[in-house]
Amino acid sequence: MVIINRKSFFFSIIFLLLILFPWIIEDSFYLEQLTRILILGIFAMSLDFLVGYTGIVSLGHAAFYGVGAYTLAYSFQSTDATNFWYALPLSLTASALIATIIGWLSIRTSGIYLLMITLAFGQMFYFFYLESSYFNGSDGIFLLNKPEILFGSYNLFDLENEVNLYFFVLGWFIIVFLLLKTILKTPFGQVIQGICVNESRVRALGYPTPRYKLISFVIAGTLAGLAGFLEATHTGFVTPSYSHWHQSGILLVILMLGGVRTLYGPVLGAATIVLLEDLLPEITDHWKLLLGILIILIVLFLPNGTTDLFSRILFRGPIQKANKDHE
Amino acid sequence: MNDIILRTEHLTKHFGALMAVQDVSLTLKKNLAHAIIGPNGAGKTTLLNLLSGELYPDQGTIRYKDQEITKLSPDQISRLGIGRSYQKTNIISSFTCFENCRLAAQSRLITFMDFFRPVKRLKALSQHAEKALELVNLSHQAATVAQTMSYGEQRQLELAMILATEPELLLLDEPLAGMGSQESGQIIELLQTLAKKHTLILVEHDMDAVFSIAQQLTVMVNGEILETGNVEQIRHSTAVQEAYLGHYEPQPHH
Ligand SMILES: Nc1ncnc2c1ncn2[C@@H]1O[C@H](COP(=O)(O)OP(=O)(O)O)[C@@H](O)[C@H]1O
Ligand SMILES: [Mg+2]
Repeated sequence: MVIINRKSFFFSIIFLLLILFPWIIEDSFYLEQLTRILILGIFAMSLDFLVGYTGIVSLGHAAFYGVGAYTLAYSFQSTDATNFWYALPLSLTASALIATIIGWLSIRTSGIYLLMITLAFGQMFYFFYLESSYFNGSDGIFLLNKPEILFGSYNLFDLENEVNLYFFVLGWFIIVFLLLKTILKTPFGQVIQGICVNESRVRALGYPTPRYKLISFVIAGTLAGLAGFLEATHTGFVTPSYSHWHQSGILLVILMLGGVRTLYGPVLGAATIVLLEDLLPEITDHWKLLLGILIILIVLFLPNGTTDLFSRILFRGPIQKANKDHE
Repeated sequence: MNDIILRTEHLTKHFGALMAVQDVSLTLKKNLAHAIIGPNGAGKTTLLNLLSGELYPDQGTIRYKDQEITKLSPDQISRLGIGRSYQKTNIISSFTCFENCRLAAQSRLITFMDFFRPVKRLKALSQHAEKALELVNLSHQAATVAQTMSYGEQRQLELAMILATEPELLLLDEPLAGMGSQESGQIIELLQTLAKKHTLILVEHDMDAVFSIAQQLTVMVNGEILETGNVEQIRHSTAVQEAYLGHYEPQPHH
């Protein structure tokens, strides 16, 4: 008898619900919110790969989010339209390039110095956009249209349609989730997880750890660029705040809320933040204070974030054993 | 000359005013077990750190086979075939025993960054990892998370990891410290076997173990070599008796 692993069964159900969502709840407000959650989820998973699995704590992850978004704005510069097949690779390449440079300069440091140097790079990009007349300074840039996913000359999958846009984002979300899960199981993934726990031991086993850390940094930065590209596509608006350190900071809070080192935890964290930001303002004007208090409570009482709550409710009892038996 | 595997010349390392290693010149023959003994603070660990690339010397050179390795990084030195264990247990504590050894084996068997194939499907890796665990008698703990094991078992695991990298030269920093007598008996046996096909540098305080494994002995005091020679010479050296061995009574031969 084949016993399906409970966790993968659960993930399949979630993915199925996500796919059916536009038909289950025909309300564009919720579709909109879910799209936001998924984009923020991609952004958060990319940081989890870096923080939770490689052990590089960055306070400048929003730099790449900004690069992804601004590169899309740049693709629109001369015309009202841009071809997705050109714009996305451009965004990803730009983010990867910037991540290579920032990564190369920062991964040799650790602890507080690493935080400072990544923070400085993030802010450098923020101020660059703010001062740049080419990118319209603090006013930011409106993208009048969405990128066109052209097949020949035909726009097969019109992103102006919000359901299409939702599926577009969901597709990328699933790709990123599976991609990171896969990488973690490969030899490369084993090495970075070893580095996360004990870098000098891994190095003494013969691995050039700085190179592994750099590649991990570039993977995370490129996926953050993808998230920025999607966010810019979704909102149609690019501003310097994409790269502000608030953005990097809130992302770290999201990781703490959801629980690092799980990939899905940060997505739960992203959902928690988006939902709280919606609900709390209806309760009180001082909702940011309330949000802060809630975050502190969650971090205090659920050391692994909302993931804890989630798996306590859903996987109570034999889940641990069931997984082990299966390996 | 070809049976010389490692040669250090005038190796010197100081920390501020402290001369941790001073003018150490050593010549190591292939497939011999070479013990380094000396009181705490003599500079034994610092010397191993210089050999494994963890520290760079202030003066002097290290040659391994035909190559100067003085300025190489720990990963480069490891890939040349020099394996290192540490005085303070150094393992991936959240990995299982098996995963620790698999990661070690992987550094030799997969020479490029592999992003695509799941490790679980790479059978050669698993086989190497299992073989290494078997050598140190840890097979029954393969699925145990390393940090939950006893101190002695963690030391055995570290040895297994080094063996999984298939080194020619092993640098072992007090491998028996903290082991129970049964465990250390097994490890001494293993080291005796290893000594037949490998070159060993063994830093160890347990003199019975040292005499039963090593053919060559170097005595270090205050960062300097006091005396070096084969076991019999050192046993009978009056300088060594006075300075270090003190009241040690060699066990009568059987
Ligand atoms: N990183 C370091 N910084 C400063 N002093 C050190 C360092 N490592 C070792 N020492 C000092 O160097 C001397 C030799 O230490 P060590 O090589 O650990 O000796 P042993 O292994 O023979 O006990 C000791 O006095 C120790 O305090
Ligand atoms: Mg020592």
